[in-house]
Amino acid sequence: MADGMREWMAKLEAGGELARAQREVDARLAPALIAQARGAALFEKVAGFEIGMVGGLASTRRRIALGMDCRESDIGKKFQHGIDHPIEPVLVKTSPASEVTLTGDDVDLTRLPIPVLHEKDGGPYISSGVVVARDAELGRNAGVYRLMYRTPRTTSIDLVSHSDLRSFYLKSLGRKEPLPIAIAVGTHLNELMAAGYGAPVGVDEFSVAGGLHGRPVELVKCRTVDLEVPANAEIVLEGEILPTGWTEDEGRFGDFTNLQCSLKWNPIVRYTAMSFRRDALFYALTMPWENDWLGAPGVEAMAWAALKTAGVQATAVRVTPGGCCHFEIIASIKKRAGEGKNALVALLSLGIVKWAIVTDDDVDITNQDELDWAVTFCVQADKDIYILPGMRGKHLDPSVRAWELPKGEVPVTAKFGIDATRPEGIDRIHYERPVVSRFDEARADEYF
Amino acid sequence: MSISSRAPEVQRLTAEIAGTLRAGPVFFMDLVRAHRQAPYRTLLLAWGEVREHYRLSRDDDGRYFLADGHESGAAKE
Repeated sequence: MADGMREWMAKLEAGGELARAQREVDARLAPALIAQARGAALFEKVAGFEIGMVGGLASTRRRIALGMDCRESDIGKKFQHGIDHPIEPVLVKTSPASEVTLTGDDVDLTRLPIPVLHEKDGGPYISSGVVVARDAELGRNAGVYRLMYRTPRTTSIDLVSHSDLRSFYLKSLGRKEPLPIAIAVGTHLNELMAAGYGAPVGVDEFSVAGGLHGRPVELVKCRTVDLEVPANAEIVLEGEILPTGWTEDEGRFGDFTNLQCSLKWNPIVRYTAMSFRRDALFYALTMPWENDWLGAPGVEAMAWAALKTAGVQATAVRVTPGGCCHFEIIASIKKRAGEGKNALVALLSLGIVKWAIVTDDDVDITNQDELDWAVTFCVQADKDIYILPGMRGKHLDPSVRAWELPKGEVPVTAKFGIDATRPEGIDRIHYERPVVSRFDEARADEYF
Repeated sequence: MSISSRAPEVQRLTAEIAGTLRAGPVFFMDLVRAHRQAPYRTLLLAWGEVREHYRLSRDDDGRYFLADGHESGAAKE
């Protein structure tokens, strides 16, 4: 069986990245404790609930790398390998998540310790759900969508942005029929990353997850909907998105942009079944950092691929927390004449990327001081800062003023890139770096 | 841990939350703070009752309030 959330947690614990709470916690304080903990936070006892809670599993690049079994610098390459080497999921008959099963009117979401993540959120949110749906023509789709608790049997679901699930829902809405869905809460990060990266239509996200695991994801059939979910999930919810359209209040919500997004109108999900392990853990995926870092491998994979397509030899690529792991990207390259600009254009062609920096390969782009040095001494602002206006933007970016647009219109944005590679035509001697004399021949710890 | 929406403590809290919402717009966390003495699960159940049985509205900031202050008498959903 491919690893589940517990195996991911075990790797974090072995790497010193998991903190176990020593006492019972009130679910209302869990988000604050997760934010303050020195590692991912595990609450085995939550007051008033039979289910424990975990959060912060994906809050840093290190925790992502530990879960992916790779170096921190290789998360993009490892992700691309999973995309390039998919492994079909297999169907199994049993799941530990079916130890407690509730159907129909017995479904009660309040058995889950669903926390309120932010001060101005519209309510408690299930933020770690891998939502599975099927379309007669396009097949199965898995994505990650936020679900706001409304009643013991209903949540709202955010379908404002374009997605495969939104397309499926529009079809069922046209037929005035509900859209069956199943939700796996508490999966391995590979399932979360595969579901979240936006695979092309027709690509099974669980095959990509299998490629990331290096073995097939085991799926189990649901009880009340004709769908399958990862068998080793902690909690499984089954239900249907009602054909009400975008009519019910949803949000506000602290989003992956590190902004408190506005109130939205969205459809409702009515649940037909829920099941969970007797010792289940509810995964409170905290925003923005967990969502941001779960997206980072996919964005870095796209950057590697774009640079390769552009014929540029990249040596390192990284997203930044300041750019919410999506909007800013930095790359170092082995440059031939003109390729600093080629690389910038390739990176800025990625839909989500708003700004980029390219350096030579001898600059450590994980070191902000090194990066600043390159920008300071390699850049002439009138020659090396490129502004590309009129490119596709994101509604989530307040600076595009999306609210001023006619309904349904996609915003445009000005992107910019900084070519911080050494300029052509300047002799390398002008960029020679001083080296401390006999540095390798003396050891400070023998003296101080 | 066995409790339902019909439990007296849930119904009591539902009425208290409705009272808070009649007093003016509040964020959900304001309700959580105002009723912090109640077990969290009871609060979730009571919030479900408010959703089901009251005409809940939102202002531009996303704060909740009861538009007419009266029970709808019918489930919203």
